[in-house]
Amino acid sequence: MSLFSKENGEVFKSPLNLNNPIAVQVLGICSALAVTSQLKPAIVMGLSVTVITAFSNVIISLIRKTIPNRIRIIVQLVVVAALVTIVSNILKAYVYDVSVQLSVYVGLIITNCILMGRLEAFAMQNGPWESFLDGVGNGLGYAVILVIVGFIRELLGFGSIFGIQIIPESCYFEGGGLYMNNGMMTMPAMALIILACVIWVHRSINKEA
Amino acid sequence: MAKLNTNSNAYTIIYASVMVIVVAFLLAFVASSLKETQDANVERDKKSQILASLNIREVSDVDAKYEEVITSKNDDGTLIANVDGEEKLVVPVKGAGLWGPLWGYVAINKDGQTVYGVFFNHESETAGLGARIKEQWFQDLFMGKKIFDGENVVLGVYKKGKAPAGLSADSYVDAVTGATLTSNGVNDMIQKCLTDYKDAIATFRGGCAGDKPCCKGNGKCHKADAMCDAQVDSCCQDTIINE
Repeated sequence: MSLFSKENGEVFKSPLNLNNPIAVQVLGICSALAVTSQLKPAIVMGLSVTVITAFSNVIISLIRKTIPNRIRIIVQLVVVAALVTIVSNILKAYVYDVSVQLSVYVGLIITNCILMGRLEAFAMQNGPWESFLDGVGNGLGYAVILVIVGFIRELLGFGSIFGIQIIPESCYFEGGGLYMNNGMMTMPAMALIILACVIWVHRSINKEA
Repeated sequence: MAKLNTNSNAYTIIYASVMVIVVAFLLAFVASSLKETQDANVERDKKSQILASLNIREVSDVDAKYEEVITSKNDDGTLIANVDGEEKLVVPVKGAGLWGPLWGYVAINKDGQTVYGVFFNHESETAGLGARIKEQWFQDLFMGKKIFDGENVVLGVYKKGKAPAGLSADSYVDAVTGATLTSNGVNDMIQKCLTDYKDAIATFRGGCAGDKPCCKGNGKCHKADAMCDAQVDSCCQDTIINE
């Protein structure tokens, strides 16, 4: 089977849309609520999860035939936990401000259902390359939703994108205009509502799925 | 290769042990090789917080600016800064919010009475409510406020209209709406820590707190103000000599 066969393409593409881990499988919601108040942490979180799902999928896929069946969940957890610790250390060393913003949520990637779900459902049965594609696909599928929610929340909650003011000061109440930032947007509860809207839109576009 | 029985007890135990040892070495290696960079980041973050209390925010080169502004560090943890030719005292403050610790820095003018600027941070206050103490608009409220009334620290944070009667409007700021407990935490933090550093602030000013007398080089105690100047060694605990 070639590296970029149709089946492999499908493995990569389906979690981006029709089998999206958040919108369709409704996994990994908690972290999606917690880190999306601004765009930058949302992107970093999405990328971190992508890297971790991809590599834990590859590692588990490589050793899948040697894993004793009785402790396979523990083995998966150890692999994921080790990768998360490494990623969290790297974030702390090279993007410190983001790691402060993500705080405990990087550590909580360990408990992200997407990871264990993919390891158990895909990597335990498939080869390393397919598993890698599956991991990247699912990670990006997760990241896409985070970015959408982060974009909406930062724009309406702070009037900025990537911390750069988009809505001009003169539109604000203080500046003589009539606009005000929506403080609700900065709270996790609003993320849940936006997420529900994203899922709604996604489902009405993909009716047959 | 003979097919291993991956379900035997011995295999399971050996597998688990080897895995744990390999992972432990890997993590120890990563942690120790990145430690230096991480510590530098923590240090730089602390410096930028101290600079923020001196109203120097969003600097690109924190280390260089810090070197330029902070002139000396006292043994008690306070810092002496020089901003535009004026000396400031930076006092670290620590306290408890609603969900977790609060900390920050208060920069004080040479008069030992007026707040030059403050910076507060928190670990886990509610986003959008208590967490707003970290925002600049709240911290800017403290600029120019008066810390002492006589010998007592009166600078505080009170709910709108709930400040103690007789307290000058110069000596308190309004609490963050919807975050009373966090605001109370900031209030307690400021009052406790500034009281603890009362003598340090007085020394910085070149005198003793309130009307407390001071000791000069000769070890005698003098009534404050009239005799106190830069030669003050320490603040008196015992009898006052009126000269």
